[in-house]
Amino acid sequence: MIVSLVSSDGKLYQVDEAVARRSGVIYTVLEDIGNQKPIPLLNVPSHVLKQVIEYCEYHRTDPLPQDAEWSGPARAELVRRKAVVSDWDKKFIDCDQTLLFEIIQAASYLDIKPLLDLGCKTVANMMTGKSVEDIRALFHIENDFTPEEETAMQVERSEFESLYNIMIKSMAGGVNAPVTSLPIPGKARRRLRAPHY
Amino acid sequence: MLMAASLETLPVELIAAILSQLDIISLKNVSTVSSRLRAVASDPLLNPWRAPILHELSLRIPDGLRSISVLSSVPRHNWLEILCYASPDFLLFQATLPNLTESQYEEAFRRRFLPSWTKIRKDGKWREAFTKMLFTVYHRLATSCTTSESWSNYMVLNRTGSANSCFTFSRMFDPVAVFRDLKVNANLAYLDTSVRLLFRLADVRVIAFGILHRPTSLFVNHNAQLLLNPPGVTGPVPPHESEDEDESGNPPDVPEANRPRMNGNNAVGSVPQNENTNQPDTPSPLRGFRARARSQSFAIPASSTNSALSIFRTLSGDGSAPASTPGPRAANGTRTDSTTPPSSPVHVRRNILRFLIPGTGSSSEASTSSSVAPAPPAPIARSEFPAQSRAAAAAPAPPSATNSRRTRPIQHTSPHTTLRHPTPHPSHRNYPNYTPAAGDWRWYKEGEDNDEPMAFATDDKRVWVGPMLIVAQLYPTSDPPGADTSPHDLERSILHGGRRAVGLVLAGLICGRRLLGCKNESRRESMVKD
Repeated sequence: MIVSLVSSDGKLYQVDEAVARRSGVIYTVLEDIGNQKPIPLLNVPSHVLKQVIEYCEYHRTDPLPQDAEWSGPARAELVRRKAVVSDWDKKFIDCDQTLLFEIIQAASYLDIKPLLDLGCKTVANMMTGKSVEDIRALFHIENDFTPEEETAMQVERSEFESLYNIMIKSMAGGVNAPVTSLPIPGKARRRLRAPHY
Repeated sequence: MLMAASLETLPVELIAAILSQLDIISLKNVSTVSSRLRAVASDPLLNPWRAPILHELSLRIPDGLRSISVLSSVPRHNWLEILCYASPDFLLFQATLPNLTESQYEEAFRRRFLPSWTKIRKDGKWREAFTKMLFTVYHRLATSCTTSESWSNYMVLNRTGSANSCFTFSRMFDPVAVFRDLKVNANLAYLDTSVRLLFRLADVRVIAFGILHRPTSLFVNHNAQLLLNPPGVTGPVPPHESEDEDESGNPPDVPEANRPRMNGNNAVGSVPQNENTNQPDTPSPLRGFRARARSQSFAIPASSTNSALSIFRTLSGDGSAPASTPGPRAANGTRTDSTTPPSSPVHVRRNILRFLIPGTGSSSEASTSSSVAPAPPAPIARSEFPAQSRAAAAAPAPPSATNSRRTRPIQHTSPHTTLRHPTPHPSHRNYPNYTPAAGDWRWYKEGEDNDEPMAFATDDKRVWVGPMLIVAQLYPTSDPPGADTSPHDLERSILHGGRRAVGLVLAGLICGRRLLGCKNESRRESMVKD
């Protein structure tokens, strides 16, 4: 059966029902009202809807996400974090930033959780390992902190990094680092010396 | 038309979803990019830190958590999760703990440790008690010292319905030997001992020693049955059963989405705050969800209806006990519970439970509406059974009424209240309900084929007979290398570990050194090497 979808700019798209039902919103509409009239998607422009339909077409045979896997507690997020992104998905989501954020918004609006997750993961990957300035430059974000806030955050950051580095250094020898790798006061060091027999 | 989308213009929920995909260091950086991102990162409700923290906790060495206490953008309540699930050595020697309130430390203590361990607090502060207890656990996991606890406590569930709380000298305690004596006394020495993991906390796991035998035995232990297989909850669904149900079990006229399902509470999750949230079962694309934990449909033979009916009448004032009508599923014999006599306390308790907790046990509509998904019955509002129509309600309902009930949205609850204080380990997060895809092996019964990692209760009709011994065992928070990966491994390592029996006690319930078996020995050896 064919389902008609109308984008926010008035374009009509006709898709297979199995494809349309990938969206939670459309699924609910079809269940409640039926497939008699075109379904208006007021928050999804045509160029985004086209992309979303392409994604749903490709994944039409995938098993639908389990309830708890997506909306369940945070433990389930661990599973999602470790999920591997397929090559097709990588290619599909490799687009300019504006379209990427529009796809994320559309996926959220249409309740297509795998697509939403893919978009969020992609943005997160863009941020991972980058410095604050790099992130600002990448996403065109202005620094709107006051100088006081900036100073406080700088102090916090340096404290975190110094603590983190000390810990990492002390753990360089593994989980149970040898005691001698830690700074030991003179008295204690003398006590640790091997006895003379 | 949407405005030009950018990261800053996204709704806060979406920004939080993106941030929650980051690691701790990157999230720390992002939280200092702009005031909007910082506001999202430090919002205790959106809490994008939760997922990265849980991810770090799932690692053996949670490096990223060592110094997050200095970050003001991390909501403090995340520390409860860390205090509950991180290993004792990490909390004691590696992490920088923040200044938490006494009430937060109390909550952490109650969520992490056994209730009887509160005695270590005496008149002191909760923070002190928490650290002391953590150190005791760390000490006891690393050494065989029993100085602080010379006596071990274990419980014996007798088949007569009574339970004994027994003490023994920790250094001499060997639960396997104790249970062997119990078997001899019960005249069941010729039967093999079976060991089951009841549940697991952050530092402790509770183990049951028992005997499995045929259901016609004279020595059936109903209390042991109730303990290991709580009424209203079934274990994992055998693959062949679920396949059959997929193909033939679904009535064609019932939309798949309208079939009763359990909420996400039983399937995945470790978040106490979120887990008890029941979601309305409205039609959704999530129809593929098949809860693996589910309430059981019991077929009660005609001879047992008297007791069931009397309870329903007494408690509800309603003569139409739905449990008395065997559903088609029961008629097919797929899930009949024939192991216990119908007039036994088990049935009585089940019937009480069915009434008190919607979604527990059987009902005619549950049996008819679903043979795939969990079959908790719809909670029947009292208004549906007006007092003046008691006779009508007692009469068999017309088929149309049954059909109309099928498509009604059903509110589901877990069969039992999930244990929260103490909080079970993530592998048993739904205890006493079933926790899927983890180490919840209560329903395991050795199959004929030992190569099969999991045999299901439906494949094996044996029941627990004779006495059951219950002990608690200290166990590392994260599974040590070579940890038991199947119930068969657990049983083998405990019964045939061949380790010296040395007592181990920690206030109240505790354990034998022998139970720690090779796991703890290997851990100690690795520490010595390091």
